Amino acid sequence: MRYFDNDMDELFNKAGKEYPLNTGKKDWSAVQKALASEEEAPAKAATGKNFKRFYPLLALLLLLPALFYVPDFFDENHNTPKNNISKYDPPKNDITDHNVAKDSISKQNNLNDNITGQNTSNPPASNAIPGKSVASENVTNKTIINKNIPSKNVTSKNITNKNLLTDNAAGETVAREKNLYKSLFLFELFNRNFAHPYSSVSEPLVKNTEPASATPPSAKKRPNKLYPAFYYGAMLGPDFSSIRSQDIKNIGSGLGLLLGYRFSEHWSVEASGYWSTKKYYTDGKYFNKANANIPAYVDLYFLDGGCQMVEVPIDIRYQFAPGRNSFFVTAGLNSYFMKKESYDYKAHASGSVYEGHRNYKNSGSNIFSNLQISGGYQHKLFSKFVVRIEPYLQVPLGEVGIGKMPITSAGVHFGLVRETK
Amino acid sequence: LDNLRDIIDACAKNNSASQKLVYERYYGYALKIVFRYVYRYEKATDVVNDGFVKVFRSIGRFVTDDLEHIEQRFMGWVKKIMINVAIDELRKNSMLVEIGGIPDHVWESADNTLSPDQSLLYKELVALVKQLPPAYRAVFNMVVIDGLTHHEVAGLLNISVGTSKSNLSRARVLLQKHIKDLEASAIV
Repeated sequence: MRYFDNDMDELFNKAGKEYPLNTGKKDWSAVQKALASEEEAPAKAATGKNFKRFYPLLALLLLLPALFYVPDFFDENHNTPKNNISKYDPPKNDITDHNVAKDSISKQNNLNDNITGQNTSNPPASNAIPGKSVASENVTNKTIINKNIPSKNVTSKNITNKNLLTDNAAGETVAREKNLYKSLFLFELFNRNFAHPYSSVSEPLVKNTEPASATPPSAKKRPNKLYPAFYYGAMLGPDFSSIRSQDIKNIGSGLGLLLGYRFSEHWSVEASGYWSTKKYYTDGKYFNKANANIPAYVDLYFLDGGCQMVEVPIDIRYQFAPGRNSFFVTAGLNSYFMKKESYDYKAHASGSVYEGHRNYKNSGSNIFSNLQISGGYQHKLFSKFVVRIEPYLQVPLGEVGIGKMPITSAGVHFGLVRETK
Repeated sequence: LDNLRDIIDACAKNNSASQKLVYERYYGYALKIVFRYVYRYEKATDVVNDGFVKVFRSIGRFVTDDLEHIEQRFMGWVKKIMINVAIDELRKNSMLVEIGGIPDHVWESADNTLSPDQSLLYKELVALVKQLPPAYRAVFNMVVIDGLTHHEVAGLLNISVGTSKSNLSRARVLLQKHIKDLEASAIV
């Protein structure tokens, strides 16, 4: 075999093409089957594989809209006439509140007038609500609508008028009322400052005896200015780390505290401190052995391990439409302070393959070594607490750790934050 | 395979008989390529079948005016597809090193054109190549045996040209070392 050294490539080339190999295991039926049944399967499989690692994040993002529908159990500052009205025992069949959808109600009003010729003035004074906080114009409209709805309190006059309605007209009225309910409900979804049309909050539909200019007490109550203000909280969540897009084999975690300062309605700055465990796998070629006490002649096949570190991200945050439910985005720089690194590895040296394990403590700090971007959703609980869901991505700006590796991380932080104002 | 052009055209029209003909004819050729990249024989046979599925799906795109050398061109085209599917398979396993011997039945060949010495030598050399770490093995196979340039290798493996050259150099060093070890053990 001595002559290999002289012309090794040529010999390997010939060997690679002519080497003896058992080629008898042909399976044409498998190929035929695949051709017949899987026209697009490979493409689908490839796409699925690429997105697999994002499935947990995707699931969380899909759950976000569900939070919009959580009942308002914790809302203390719901600025609607709801609290005043609820003192009264509502009739069951009336249309609920609403100084919304005036146009719809006005149309209804006109229709009813045309059909019934009902005189809309002089509603029974006994049904008046003292201190009712709706404009008289709206209440008038409601009074008219109410006349077309079966009610326990209807007078004989109302009943007489109802009898004059044809079946078609009655059907149309009911249909319009249903549409009104729908429009009110949809409006409600986008504006939580109005009472829910299907809630138990309903009112006797009578003319308000107060002047139209009367302002509801709750409307006078202006919310406190939200800034400038500090806030603080705790965050935790899973962490998925990878080096140069290699596979993620284990999941890490992060637990931390944050301090923020809101300096405008939308903007704030945040600093956090996380105790993070990142787990990753890497091919040996991405691990720099220079500082790791591994001799240069050792070929590392792969390393599987991770690190524990203190992460200090400093971010700027923009909150869209501050309110009870809102979305936000953040961007900032992240510093790593390595506390412990631990690796299992497989290597080749001096003709033998072996496995090893190494630990490194306090292997250095990497200031602003990552760009962190995140976005998320927050929901206000009570008056001062906020729960957050914040998916994030950390993109390496430099190489970190004893092996000088670029660690890319993604995950989700779940947090509870308290505002000081 | 007198008229390969017609057979290829028939394959493009999903003619099963023609496809089977091509499969039977080039299966051994394809397996010899893939088995140099993929460590396990059983896995290599699966990968070859996947490769042929790709060949037949895209055979309509195989175009050549050089009818005199159409078979060489076609084999070159098949080789590229087989290398691609083999690399995909290595990537699927994150280029992980696989351990374990290669069973003897793998090397049994019905082809007796080689002398026993040659056969043994080639088998040993390919076995040495298969023992290389996957990243080195892939580059060595592509450059030295399959004749790809470093630029092509870099594109296929998504690495830099420098890394490709460095991996090849390391592969050569490792092979030389293995060969010396073999020589030493033969002398003893």
